[in-house]
Amino acid sequence: MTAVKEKPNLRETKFVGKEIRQRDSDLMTRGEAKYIADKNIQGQLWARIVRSPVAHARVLSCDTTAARSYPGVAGVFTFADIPDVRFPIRIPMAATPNTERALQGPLASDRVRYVGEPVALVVGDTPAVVADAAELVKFEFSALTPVLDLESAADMPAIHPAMGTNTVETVFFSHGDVEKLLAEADIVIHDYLSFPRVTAAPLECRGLLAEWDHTHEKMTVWGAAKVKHNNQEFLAEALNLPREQVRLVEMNVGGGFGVRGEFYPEDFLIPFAALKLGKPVKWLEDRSEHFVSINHARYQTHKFTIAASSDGKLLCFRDQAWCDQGAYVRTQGILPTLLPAVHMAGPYDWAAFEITSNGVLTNRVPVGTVRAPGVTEATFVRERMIDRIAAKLSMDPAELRLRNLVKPSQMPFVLDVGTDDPIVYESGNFTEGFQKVLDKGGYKRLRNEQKLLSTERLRFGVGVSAFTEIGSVGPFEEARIDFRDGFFDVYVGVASVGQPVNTILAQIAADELGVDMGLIVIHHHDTDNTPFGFGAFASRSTTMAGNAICIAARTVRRNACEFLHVDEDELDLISAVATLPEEFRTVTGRFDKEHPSFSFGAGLAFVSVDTLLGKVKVLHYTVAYDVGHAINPLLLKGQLTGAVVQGIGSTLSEELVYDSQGQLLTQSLDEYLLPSLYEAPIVETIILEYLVQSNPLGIKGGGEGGVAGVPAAVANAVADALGIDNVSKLPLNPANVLTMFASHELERGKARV
Amino acid sequence: MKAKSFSYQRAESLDDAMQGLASADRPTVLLAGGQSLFPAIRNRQVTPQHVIDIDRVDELSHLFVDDKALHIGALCRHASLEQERILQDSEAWSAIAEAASHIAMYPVRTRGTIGGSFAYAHPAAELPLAAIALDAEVVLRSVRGERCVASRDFFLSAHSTSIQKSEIIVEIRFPLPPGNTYSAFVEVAPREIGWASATACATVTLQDGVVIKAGVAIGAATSRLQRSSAAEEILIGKRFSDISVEDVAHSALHECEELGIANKDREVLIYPTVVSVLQQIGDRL
Repeated sequence: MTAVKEKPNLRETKFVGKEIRQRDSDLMTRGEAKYIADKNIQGQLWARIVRSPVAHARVLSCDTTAARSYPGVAGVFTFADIPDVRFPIRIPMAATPNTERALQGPLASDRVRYVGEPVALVVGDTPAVVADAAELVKFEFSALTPVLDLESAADMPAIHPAMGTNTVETVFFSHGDVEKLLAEADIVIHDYLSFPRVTAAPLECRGLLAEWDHTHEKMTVWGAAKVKHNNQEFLAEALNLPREQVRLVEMNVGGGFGVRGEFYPEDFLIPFAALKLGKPVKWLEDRSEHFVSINHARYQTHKFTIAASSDGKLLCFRDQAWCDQGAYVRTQGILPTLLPAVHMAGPYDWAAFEITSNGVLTNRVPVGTVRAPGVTEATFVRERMIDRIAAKLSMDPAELRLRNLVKPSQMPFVLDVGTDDPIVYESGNFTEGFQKVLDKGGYKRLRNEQKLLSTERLRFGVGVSAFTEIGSVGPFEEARIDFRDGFFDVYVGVASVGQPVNTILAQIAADELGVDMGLIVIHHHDTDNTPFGFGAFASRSTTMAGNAICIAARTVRRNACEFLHVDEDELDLISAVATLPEEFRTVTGRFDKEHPSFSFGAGLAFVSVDTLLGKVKVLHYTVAYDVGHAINPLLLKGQLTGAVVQGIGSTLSEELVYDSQGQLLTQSLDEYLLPSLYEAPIVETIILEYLVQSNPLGIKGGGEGGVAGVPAAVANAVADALGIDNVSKLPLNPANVLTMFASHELERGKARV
Repeated sequence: MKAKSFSYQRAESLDDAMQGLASADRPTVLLAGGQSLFPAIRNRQVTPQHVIDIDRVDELSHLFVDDKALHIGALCRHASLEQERILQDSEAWSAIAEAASHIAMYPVRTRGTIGGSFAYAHPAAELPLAAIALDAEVVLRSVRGERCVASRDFFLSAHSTSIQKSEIIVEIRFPLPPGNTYSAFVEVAPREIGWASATACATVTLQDGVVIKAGVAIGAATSRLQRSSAAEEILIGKRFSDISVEDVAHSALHECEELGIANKDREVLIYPTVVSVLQQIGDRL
């Protein structure tokens, strides 16, 4: 599996590789696309969730009398009202025996564990009625001490007594003899770094509409996203219905980024209420509710030791991490603990490392994945430490990386982490990719500009980062191609959470079938007519569904050739269609993938820092990312650019802040500071194309990588601008920057004395 | 979230609004630009039973200068203040235009009003800070008559003012400054648009290069809008060129700490914003 640089084995590429505008983009920009808020059914009821106002408490009593008798209320449900379904939400991913003891149920029973935890459901005639009635549901709580600090959580009483500890799992990776190398190394640096708690905050909050069809005995839920087949299966189980009687439908989606579409308590409660009350039930999440219910992400601390030789060889590292899992283990299991460990070694050739990653339960909103999970945090930690080595060696940080990246001759690179399943980097040329960032991003020019432009007050800085990111996760996807009425209907099990799968998959289908793209209709919205699929996450939709389509389309052509006794290059599929018998008109392809793919990525940031007011501005950012082969460079650039800006948000301004009682202080977009257009730098995108042999299209994912290197590169640039080494936490807002700068100057002052 | 139900009345005139307030027997609020009030009502943080909409009361949209003061009507929009030549062209009042330009984002500024900002009394509010530094008065009127309150007495604490039930803010009145008066406004925020983390507004009046009058006000990084008398004491009586702006800023910070109003996670920003605002004035002398 060596890296090859050639076009993939496509019949012809009339559409693949071309810059084609996103389908439906006109609908979206004109406001004509239909989102869940636009979907209504005559006679529908409205739901409102009553949420815990406290972080940690025993539930002593619950009085719903007043709410039940409020005019217009159709039903009020608490844990006691759903005795037949006292189940926790199960975990399809990254489960361990321990995680089973910390699962979340749809409504809290005897204990609440975070502010925002659903405790009751009120259903009634209008949104205002249920908001009124929700205020009348009275709970009595007996407060318990909230567990909030990551490192001391293990010494606190277990918030899930059945677990007996607040450490839900510890991931241990090791490779080589760290102790020996640390003893021999010329340079050893220790630091303590942390990444803030953030979330995705998509433009569109969540929403659901559930309807029970009495005649056909079928439950339909609109507003599904991301992983609808998994959710269909689980909802069916929870409602005690056969899977065929549950249908999940996607609407247009205003952003997912990993958080939307997981199975949350509401995903049970709304259909449950519709079933119980026999009427359609609608729920639209409001923004403050969104912040205390949707998955949070990324909060973790790292005690990190790194060692190098005086000639610039990175030797080894030891990472001890505490990753916040929040109050319950949700559908993504221990991925928040596992993924930082998976990505910590990154694109470098280490002689040894040791990673201990502790998943910690706390009284905060449960944690899941947000775009480029684990890799973003790990890259920040590792790349900051590598810059500290460079500073210590007085070596250019880009040069230090070039010397230590895995060499092309080492591909495929097997990263032994001491478990049964090694990590494999299938293809790529890391040094070439990194060099492209330096060249196209103008590294040398920026180093000059930095010197020319910097004044006493306004300093300029340059920072780089490199990483490898997991993507194209299996296990399989299927695609079905139906052609009957002149169009080719392609049914897939992945989803669109706003990313342009419709366009990308149509490009692949058109080229593989050898027909015009206008004849391709992609269907992914509805569990009733799509094959089972695993959904849209881990940058997998294009690779997994794209290759399934590729396999199905090649079968279509092969069948036609055999039936008509013509050679592949003589086949005109459009004319052939009319003559093909019925059994040839539905073809299914399946693509299996045992191992994930890893992509290389790198970033270069140019920033200015106002040393008086602490204001950081990212002026220019260059991002490079390896996708194997770009199906649509235009849309890929869009993904990368948007991801960079998203990364700048969590670097400069975003943070979910909790007070000492576990109250979330950032519950609106006034307080949770997403980046605006003013924070968006000029973004230069470089698409790297190192084909892989493990799939027919030769591709890797591209949806997330743009985020991953941003906090690292920007933090490195800020440290570079200020000449300080303690840029160890985020966000780099004015207060934090000035605090770091001042404490560094203080240390430097002490050192001089 | 949906608002709790309330009744709505559109006031056609100032009298109409004052009558409405005077006769209100239920919790009543005035609605102007609605940029803070609407979200608060919708999120049920404010739950009025009656809303009097004064947004179209034209007699409150005035802005003029007479021989005593600059009069800014309560319904003047932030965007119009930001673009007002009378303010922009005056060394003494340019801080008002500058302050207005930092409020939220442009669409909000086209709706939000100066009176609304005073009534809301957010500790990071820009125009109230400028009013405190520049010794403005708040003119309040009710069916019982009119009264003026010094802006530094008007703001009691976060979201709390000395406005009485049934009073309406009709005008913010900035006294005519003596010659050689300069003003500046600085704000630091994690993001270009949105609430400030720290604000400072300053004004100095010079006579033969010596500061004879000064106003320094601090906000956002403090729990309330605060006039810094410690800073002013250092400024007054000295040649501006001899003053260490660092010393002034240190004393302002120290005063905030003494008063216990410095917001822990932002107090690091108080010193630099005061330095910056005085440097801006210094640069213009």
